Amino acid sequence: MALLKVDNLTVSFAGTPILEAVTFMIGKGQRFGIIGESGSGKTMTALAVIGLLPEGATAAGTIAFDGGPLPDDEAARAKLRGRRIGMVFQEPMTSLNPLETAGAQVAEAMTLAGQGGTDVKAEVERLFTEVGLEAAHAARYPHELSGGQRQRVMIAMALAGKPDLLICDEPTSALDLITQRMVLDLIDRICTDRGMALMFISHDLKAVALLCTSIMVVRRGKVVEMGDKLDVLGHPKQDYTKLLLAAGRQRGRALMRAPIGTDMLVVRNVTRRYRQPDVSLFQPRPPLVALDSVNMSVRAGESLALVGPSGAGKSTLARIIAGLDRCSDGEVEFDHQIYHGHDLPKSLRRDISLVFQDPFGSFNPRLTIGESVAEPLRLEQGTGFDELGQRIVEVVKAVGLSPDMLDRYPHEFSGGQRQRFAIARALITRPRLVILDEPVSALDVSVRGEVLVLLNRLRADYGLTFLVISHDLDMVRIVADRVIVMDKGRIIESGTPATLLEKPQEQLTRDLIAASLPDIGIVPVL
Amino acid sequence: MIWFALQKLLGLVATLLVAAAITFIALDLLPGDTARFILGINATPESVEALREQLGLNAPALERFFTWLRGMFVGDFGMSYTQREPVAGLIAGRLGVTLPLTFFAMILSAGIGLPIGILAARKRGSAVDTGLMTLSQLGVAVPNFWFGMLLVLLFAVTLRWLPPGGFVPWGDNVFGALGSLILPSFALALPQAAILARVMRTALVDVQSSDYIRTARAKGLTMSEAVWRHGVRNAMLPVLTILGLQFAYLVAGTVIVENVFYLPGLGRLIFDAISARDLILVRSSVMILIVAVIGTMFLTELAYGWVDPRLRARRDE
Amino acid sequence: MTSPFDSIKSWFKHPSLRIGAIASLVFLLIGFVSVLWTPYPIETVSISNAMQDPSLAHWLGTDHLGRDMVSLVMKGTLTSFVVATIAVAIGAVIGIPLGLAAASWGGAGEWAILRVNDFLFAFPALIIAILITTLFGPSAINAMIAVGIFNIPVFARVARGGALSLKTLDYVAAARLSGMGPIEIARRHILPNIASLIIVQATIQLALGILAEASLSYVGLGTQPPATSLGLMLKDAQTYALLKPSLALIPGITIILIVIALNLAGDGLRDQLDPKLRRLGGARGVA
Repeated sequence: MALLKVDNLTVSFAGTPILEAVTFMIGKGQRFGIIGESGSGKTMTALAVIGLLPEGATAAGTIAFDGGPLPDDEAARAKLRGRRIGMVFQEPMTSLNPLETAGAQVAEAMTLAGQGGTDVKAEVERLFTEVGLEAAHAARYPHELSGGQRQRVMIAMALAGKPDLLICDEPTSALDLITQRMVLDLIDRICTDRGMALMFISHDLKAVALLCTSIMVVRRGKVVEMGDKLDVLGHPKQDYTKLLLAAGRQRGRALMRAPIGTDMLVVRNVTRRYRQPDVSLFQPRPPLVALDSVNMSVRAGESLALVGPSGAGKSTLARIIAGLDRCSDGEVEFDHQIYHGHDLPKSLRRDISLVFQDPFGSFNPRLTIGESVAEPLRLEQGTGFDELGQRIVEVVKAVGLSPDMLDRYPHEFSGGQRQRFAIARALITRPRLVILDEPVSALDVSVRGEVLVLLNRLRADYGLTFLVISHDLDMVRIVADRVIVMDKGRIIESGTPATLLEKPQEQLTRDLIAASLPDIGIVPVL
Repeated sequence: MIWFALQKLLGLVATLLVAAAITFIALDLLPGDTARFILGINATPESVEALREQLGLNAPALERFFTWLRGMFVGDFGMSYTQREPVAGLIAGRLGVTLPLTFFAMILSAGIGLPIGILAARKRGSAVDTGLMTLSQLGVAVPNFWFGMLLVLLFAVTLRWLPPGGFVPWGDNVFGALGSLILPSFALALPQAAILARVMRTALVDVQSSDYIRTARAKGLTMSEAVWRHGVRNAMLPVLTILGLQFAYLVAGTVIVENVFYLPGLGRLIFDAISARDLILVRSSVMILIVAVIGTMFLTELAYGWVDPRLRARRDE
Repeated sequence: MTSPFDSIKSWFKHPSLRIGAIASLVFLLIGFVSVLWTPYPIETVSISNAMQDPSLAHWLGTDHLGRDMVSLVMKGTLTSFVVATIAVAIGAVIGIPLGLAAASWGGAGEWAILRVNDFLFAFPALIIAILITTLFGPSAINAMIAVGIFNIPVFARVARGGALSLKTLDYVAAARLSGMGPIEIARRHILPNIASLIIVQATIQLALGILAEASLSYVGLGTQPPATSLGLMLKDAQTYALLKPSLALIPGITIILIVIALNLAGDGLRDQLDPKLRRLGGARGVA
């Protein structure tokens, strides 16, 4: 008998349907994955099952749990939650009560579900250890824990009631690569140990493939394809599924590129310290060292990738090179001119540009996209009006978009289109060095491939030099000639993508590679 | 927490010093010749000089400032020129009216406003909610002293339940004193209660749609249980801030409402002193008001730090 | 080709905003008209006509000096609006640059501005008015300055809060890459995106300013005769309220109506802007 049976579930929000006639089943102990991109309605499915739909949402259809329908009464539903169904949410920071300690919140989950017996505190500590935390973490407040630790607290809370079904909604998207892998392995382990059913929701195909045995693909509120993992991933029937799989593989070939020349950018002994507020007058704190005597260089025409876990200093280094931040020690040399960050001479500013990570934050919503793209042209004093106009048109066409889009506003475009405009803006001054900060990680999987192909083509056509920051080794493989691995402000290893992946020298590099999820198509033998 | 409190205390002292300095500059240095200012344009040079000696105005400014500060510390606020009595005594007498009035108004406004806000939040979207919020819109728009006039017209003149004004000294008749303060307290409390109701409702509504309440419900709590156990404390944070800020308004309001009810409070003292150009009296009375306001802000910040552990932590940027 | 401003037309569908805005404008209009014309001049005192009930000649009756109440209310409304508006202007013109500077400088500069702000917050307009009046005597200008000074920290705080949440957005960084200086960035990128916050706050402060002017004039620290303001009318009414309650009721109700109108307009504006406030200047909300 199925543990969870969802029949014809339709959810509407303020009149607009978010989910339409969704039907699926999860058996006892079964691992069920739901794959969808943003806007697919996958989170709503989870909320509907656990009975926590937001206000204003109406649901139709039936949801049956363990034979009986989900009760309508709030109090009765509350009894199901925690005890039989546990849920791990996406944003660990806002999902925990900031005013209570982690341990207290988990303890509450335990006592509510009637678990824990006489010594709740000991049980809580045992649970903490099971999810990979220390007993000492129980006394801390959420803001004193890292993202990965908070997510483990959420998992502990969901487990405290010993539920039969665990729902996880994008539990790892806010975490860095290594922690992601650890949390996924943890979920795998506890489901096996406890014989729990799992409903795992994600946009990340590989994560779902790793953990689940059955898969359902959703798009814009409708079920596209559903079935056994091997069937769906091995022989996809629907075009959308095939699209997702292809994008997931990202098997682009590095195109022919311009020949690599001499050093264009040299970074010497760059250090960046931040002052930290002292604990008290008598306990001064040492400064936070974001970059520690970093030495590296970028040659003309090459594409260099900076990888590393979060907090490694990659973005800090990029910002100093771009002239947005200041280094505390050391210097940067570009084109034989020396600077320290902020003091990047104006004449050089047009030679270095930056493409930002988040397409939603990179454009002023009150300016037309044309005005924003043209902004860097201020640096080109003395160029005629006509020529400026031509440049804008030229650069927009180069990224595959049309010049009559220029009069529109940012909110009218999709994420992928905005990122192309961001690239256009970066290219408009005909720079020599383009820094790209996680250029595709904020985009939907199906769009990433195109943007990467575009980047490679632009590099070849215009002879650009790239400095790419990423945590995604797959993407780096396609886009970079050389890779530098950073950790805690230092460079720990470097080499071509191939050598690094085959013969990693440092532990961290090995961790990063291990953290990458296995390719789909290479199905691990269960 | 101790370190946090000490830091805030330091801030308090610093702010008070600056406030005192500004008051001193405004009232002691800017008028130019203070003695002449007090006596008026037609005063003879001899009387001006005599007054200068009497008030110790020939000493350098900084010295006078510190003398004044030191004096306030020990309770010596100088002599009022116009009333020929120690200022301290005058103020103390008036405080016996102003302080209890402020206190009652505060309690009333919280006691009426907060429950209304909670009720409106719990019945969000219903007729009760709309009705209460409309009333609060009205309450916020009413000038407190005007409301006081209305209350007098209704309860004192028409119904004759309460006195229309004046104050029965505490010494004479405690109940009489309380009676004189009932109408003024309500007049003051009404707009404050309306503001508190709105803030409380907004805070609770925000809390209701927050992620951690969703998590609490996922643990097995019903919505009301979750809000009660987790939400209220979080909702108190913005309410506390407003309470602290509103106190400043309340102090100002007290001073004004006293006018409506002919209460011999601090307000009357100040206004009479202003007309009489009694700078010394004005100076010290203003300081008392400032101390009250800043002191309350300090207490609010302490309470905030006590409730929210994030403020006590060292920031890591 | 929609611009964010095209939605202004759709704003007026919001009931609060519509009622509030129209009512406020009506009162404003009444005030403006009084500059050129009132049914009767308010300077003329005619004791024989004092304390009359509403009649065809005097729609709201006359006050204790025989002056026409309608004319008094019109001029009083004007004064109240003028004082409140100038106070908002003072607060905004000084406060917004301070807030923006604090957000952009950070460090010691920001700390200093924040301390000054906290300090100003602690001074109710009343105390400042007392100090000014002691030195210079009472007048409507006192009220403007006192309330204006009180408005400064409010606008500074709003501007700083808005600027801070925008500062981390990439398009601000992109502007710096294009070589724009802090003032240019403030003008082109930050101000337009916090304009909505500021407008909402301005409506609130306007309402508060009208109440504050009334209080100050009531105790004699603000508008002085022969000019009139709604608060001053109440001061006169204090003595005669027992004889003729309408002297107190009329200006009081006028104040209440104006303040409610402004508050409704402000609330309506805020509701309309709220979904956009969450995504202030383009910051991504939770998708």
